[in-house]
Amino acid sequence: MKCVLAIVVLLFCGLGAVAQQDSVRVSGIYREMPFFRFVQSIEFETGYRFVFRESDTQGLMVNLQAQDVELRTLLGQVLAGTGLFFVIDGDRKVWITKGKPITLGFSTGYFELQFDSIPPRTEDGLGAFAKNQVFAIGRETDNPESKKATLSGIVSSVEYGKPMPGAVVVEKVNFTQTVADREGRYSITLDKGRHTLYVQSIGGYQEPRHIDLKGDGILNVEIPESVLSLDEVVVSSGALSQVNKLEMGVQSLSIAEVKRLPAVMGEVDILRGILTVPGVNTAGEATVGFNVRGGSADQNLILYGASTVFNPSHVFGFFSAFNSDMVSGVELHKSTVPVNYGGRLSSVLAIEPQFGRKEKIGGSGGIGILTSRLSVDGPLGENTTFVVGARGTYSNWALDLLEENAELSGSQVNFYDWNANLRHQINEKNSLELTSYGSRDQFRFDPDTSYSYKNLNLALSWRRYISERLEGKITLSRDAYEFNIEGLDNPLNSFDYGFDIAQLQLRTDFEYRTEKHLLDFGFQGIQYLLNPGHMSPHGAESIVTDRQLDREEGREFSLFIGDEFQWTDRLAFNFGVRYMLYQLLGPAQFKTYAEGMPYSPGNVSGEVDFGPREVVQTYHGPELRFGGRYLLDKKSSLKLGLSTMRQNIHLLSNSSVITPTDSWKLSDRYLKPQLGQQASVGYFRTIFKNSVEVSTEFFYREMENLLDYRSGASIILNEHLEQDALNTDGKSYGAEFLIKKNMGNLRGSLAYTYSRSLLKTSDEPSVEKINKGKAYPSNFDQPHNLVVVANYEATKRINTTVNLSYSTGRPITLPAAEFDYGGSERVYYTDRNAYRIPDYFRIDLSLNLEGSHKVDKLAHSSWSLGVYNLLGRSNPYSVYFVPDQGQLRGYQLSIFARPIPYVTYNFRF
Amino acid sequence: MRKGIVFLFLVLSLFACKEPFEPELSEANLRVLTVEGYLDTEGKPSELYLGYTRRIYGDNLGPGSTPAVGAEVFLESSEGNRYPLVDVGDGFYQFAQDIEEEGSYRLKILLEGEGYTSESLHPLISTPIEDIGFEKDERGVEVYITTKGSGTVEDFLWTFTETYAFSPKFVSPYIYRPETGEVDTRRPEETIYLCFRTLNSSDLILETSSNFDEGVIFKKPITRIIPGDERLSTRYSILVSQMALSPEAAEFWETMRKNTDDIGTIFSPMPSNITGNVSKDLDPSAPVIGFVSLGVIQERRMFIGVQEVSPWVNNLEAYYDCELDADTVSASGFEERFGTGVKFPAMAVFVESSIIGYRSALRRCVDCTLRGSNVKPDFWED
Repeated sequence: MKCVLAIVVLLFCGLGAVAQQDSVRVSGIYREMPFFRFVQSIEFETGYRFVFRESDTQGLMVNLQAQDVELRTLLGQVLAGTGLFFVIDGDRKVWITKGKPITLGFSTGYFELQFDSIPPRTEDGLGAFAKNQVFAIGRETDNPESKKATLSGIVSSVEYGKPMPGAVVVEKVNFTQTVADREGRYSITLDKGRHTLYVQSIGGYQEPRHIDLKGDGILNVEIPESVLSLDEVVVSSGALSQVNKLEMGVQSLSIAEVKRLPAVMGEVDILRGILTVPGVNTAGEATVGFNVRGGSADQNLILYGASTVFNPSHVFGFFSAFNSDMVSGVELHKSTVPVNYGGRLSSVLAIEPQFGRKEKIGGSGGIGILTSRLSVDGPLGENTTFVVGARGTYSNWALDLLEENAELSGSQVNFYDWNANLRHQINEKNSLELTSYGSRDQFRFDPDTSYSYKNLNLALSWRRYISERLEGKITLSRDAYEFNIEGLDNPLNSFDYGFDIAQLQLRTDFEYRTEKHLLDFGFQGIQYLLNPGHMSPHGAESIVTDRQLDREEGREFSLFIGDEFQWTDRLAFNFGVRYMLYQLLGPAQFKTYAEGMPYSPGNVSGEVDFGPREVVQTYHGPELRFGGRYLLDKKSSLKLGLSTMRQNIHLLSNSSVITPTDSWKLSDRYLKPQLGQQASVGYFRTIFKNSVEVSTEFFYREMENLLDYRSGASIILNEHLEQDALNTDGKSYGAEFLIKKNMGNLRGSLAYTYSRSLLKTSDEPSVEKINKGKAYPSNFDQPHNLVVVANYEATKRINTTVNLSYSTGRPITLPAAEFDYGGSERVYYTDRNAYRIPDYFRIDLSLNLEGSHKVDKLAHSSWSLGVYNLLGRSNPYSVYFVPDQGQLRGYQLSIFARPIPYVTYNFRF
Repeated sequence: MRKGIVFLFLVLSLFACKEPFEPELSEANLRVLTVEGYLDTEGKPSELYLGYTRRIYGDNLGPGSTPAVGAEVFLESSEGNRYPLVDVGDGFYQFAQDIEEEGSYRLKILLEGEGYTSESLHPLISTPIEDIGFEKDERGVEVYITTKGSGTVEDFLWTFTETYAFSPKFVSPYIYRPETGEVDTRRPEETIYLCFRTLNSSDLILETSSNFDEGVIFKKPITRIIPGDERLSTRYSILVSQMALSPEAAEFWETMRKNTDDIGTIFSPMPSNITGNVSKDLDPSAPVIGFVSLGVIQERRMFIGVQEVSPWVNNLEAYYDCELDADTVSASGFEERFGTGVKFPAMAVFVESSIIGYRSALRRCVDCTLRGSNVKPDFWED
């Protein structure tokens, strides 16, 4: 409708119109809206078409709220004092002209002319200063018996007009708050009456709106999206709202926040950002994954949109596998995981993909010491946006510096990752999203051993707003991961080793909102296809025997329903149940064991075979979620969370190794699904005029059917893993403290966690009880963990961050002594995990320099520079033992053992 | 493989750093008593070995083996009868008593003021070895045994000791006698061209009879001799000892078998935590390594002559660089050539029918006593 239509055209419109029915009524809140957008919105709502000259309405902003207002009245309001006139014809067309209303010459007998002469508009002060305006929402006659009313609308960006997902709408008296969804939609239920709402963009910009809530209504808000994305510390749905948020143990980080953290070699690393949150630790610097509340790394579900990412890192954990420009935000659920997620015991890390903007094609990128990235996004036609990004390394030059050391001349590190996301708005109610992610690593550090792995994820979803209250989404996705080692140490035992895993997923998610309830329900089906491991000879001379573990196929179905329920002003609950059915399918072959006896070679009683697609084993059971929040006062709340979880897929890992070589395995006849239960309570409070948020959470977890391994077990390529795996119970507990300051020039957080993570061989019959059946620390039991982040913003263009991390050294099983026994030299090891490697302590510093902020500049640039491990402390990442001249020697290896300076140039266009 | 992983980090030594790691371990973990023994209950002399673990960290690690000497060791029956073991030195304690096989016993050790006691031990009567034999194929000779479990005895441990006769590369009956300066013919007790060498195998062979039909462990491989191995160059003998184990003992030995210093690679096994059935009296949680068993050790010996496996090529691996010196040493050169003992007369040089001198060779190419004993063992059957 931006097009200009000549009035002449109008004259020839064969208007077989009938008598005008002026019963069309409009509701909505139009805030600071350019006239053409207002028109679009009315057109959509009413089906009427507008005809006008764009130049006539230039600069006209619409600023009003309507509740069931006749279109004519509304337009009269809008056009008052503008010198514009309108005519509505019988064909549902609205004609807007300057100076005087048009006359439809042919119309006399056929349609009634709508003609309104509007009195000059009075300057009511409402237009320019929306902040001071009071918006009357709804009508008192609606639901007069209800004390509450629901306000909904869309938050969008002033600059780009695109919806602003993650924007926070908060009312600061009772701290009722909500977060805009991915379409920028929000809905908040408040007491009727006057309120001040604050709408906060992800960039940190806050905009107040005064409302007088009389009934249900709509208020669309446009707020600036901060151009200075690097200078604001804001949580997308975190800090401001922790007190009020119903869910406990959820931590959100905006990508801007992650970007300010000091990075290793300038690489912005989402996973490292997650480590600043209490309750999350990592077993080492260069390790894949992280541990949440005493759970192993495979107990975290890492989602990029709807895709499960099996390996979230490059080069064994040196770099995060996610391109920070392709991520819009990160949310970690570590307590009561939302009911629509399941299948992992510890946590869900939801990484929200970035989608393209609608206005223009632009991009961003960065050039660092070891890697560079580039992404481009923008519209593809009127209703489609795209974003593509890629990142690659050229770190070989660093390795080349070592070329003079001939032993290392074979080193090579190559990796890249890419994303491509599309969003297509079919119409106002339907949209399609396609997200994709791929990564590939190939590296070797000597000519003998090459490692390679790749991720490939694709997801397509269709979202539909079925009604104002009901929203649905169907997602189809495929996730795959593949790992290989090529060992060419000597021609005789050269080998290729590898494993892979793929899953196909179909899920539906529905969300139904009422005044007091927020219902989530849906279905999830996953098919797993997995090759647990193969080894084959490499080259003609190799005498390695070809070994291939049987492929595994499984399926998992879950139905879930959850309700978030606002009981009273102070009390809110959520309940959820998720029922999961898991089946392992043939072909498969299993040994059978004597009843009630441990799974040992001595107790093998026979063998069973299963044909293709025959059900080998079924496990099923519910996952329960319960959460409650009680507001003590306006500034503090108590929360409770209870949850049970199930997990059918296991990561087998050999912890005695320096490098993580893990492989995935499905639950089978003998390896049961891991079960977990967690209870947590928390106290949340804001102090100093809400500028500082303090919280403490206590948790207790119990886990069953975890895997540990008996003495001397070989984990890789083990055909009868049940004989070497020990059914293990786990227990963890801890207290988490967080102080976070979100405002002012000095911002930051202090997170301290005291927690323990213990394992114990279960009471099931087993050939061995680790540490004589006593509880022992898990591989990632690090009782003390402290992370302090402080950011000082000297000016809008210069800010500096200090990061401090401390944690107890992780447990280790040490070879303690040697002895002769049975005619050979043997090694005496201490009890499992009886000792610890030295404590971990590190300080990093970073400085971010922004270029000028002129909006119309061709490209916005910034520099990030800093020093990682400022003190140069050699924090052991790994301790390992190798025989050296007949004697076992221990080494501790520190990855980043000296201060590592970095500089990265970032740009946006 | 392991090298590759180490390099992974070496390479990152732009940033990375590898330093020796020497943990501070409690004394209890550094010096642990080890107890090893399968005591025969029929009076056949059997030995118990007591030793200490030794440090692996730091320098000056001391001798390879640290026996625990001076212990008082006895077996005590549930009725209170004591059957002492005799200290035979170097940490070995000999047991040679015929004891009641129905009873239950505890092993008691008094050492350095500390008392150690085993769990209750029940003698296990092993079934005899039914058969011992060998088979030759293109991969060499495999020695096997066949045995049968019983209702009470299902788990077996086999160990074996091999003895073989061998000759050096150069068979020489000559000896240089420095006192006369002459080369003489060796007396029978001086011969150095046929020796006997005994190898104690460190292999632990375990099997459970209940894995097999009717409890028969049929042709269980004990050891394999690959083609060209010196062991079959002349005559070979193997003594296989069969010990019946309780399920707990079998588990202990299985863990011990997997215990290895091959750690640090992706295919390496998990560290094995070894304990056993002996504990310290005053501190039962203190580690003591070892599983003591009582029972009747069944033994079978077998001989294999080279003619039984012929053709058998001896690849003389131990003598691969042995050559005769080119020159002939005549009487005037004996002292100079043989006086130091480095070179031995290896071959006589005849002219017509009289010896004019000797070709010499390195001692190790002539003298088999450097690698074995020239005394024929008592059990040896030619």
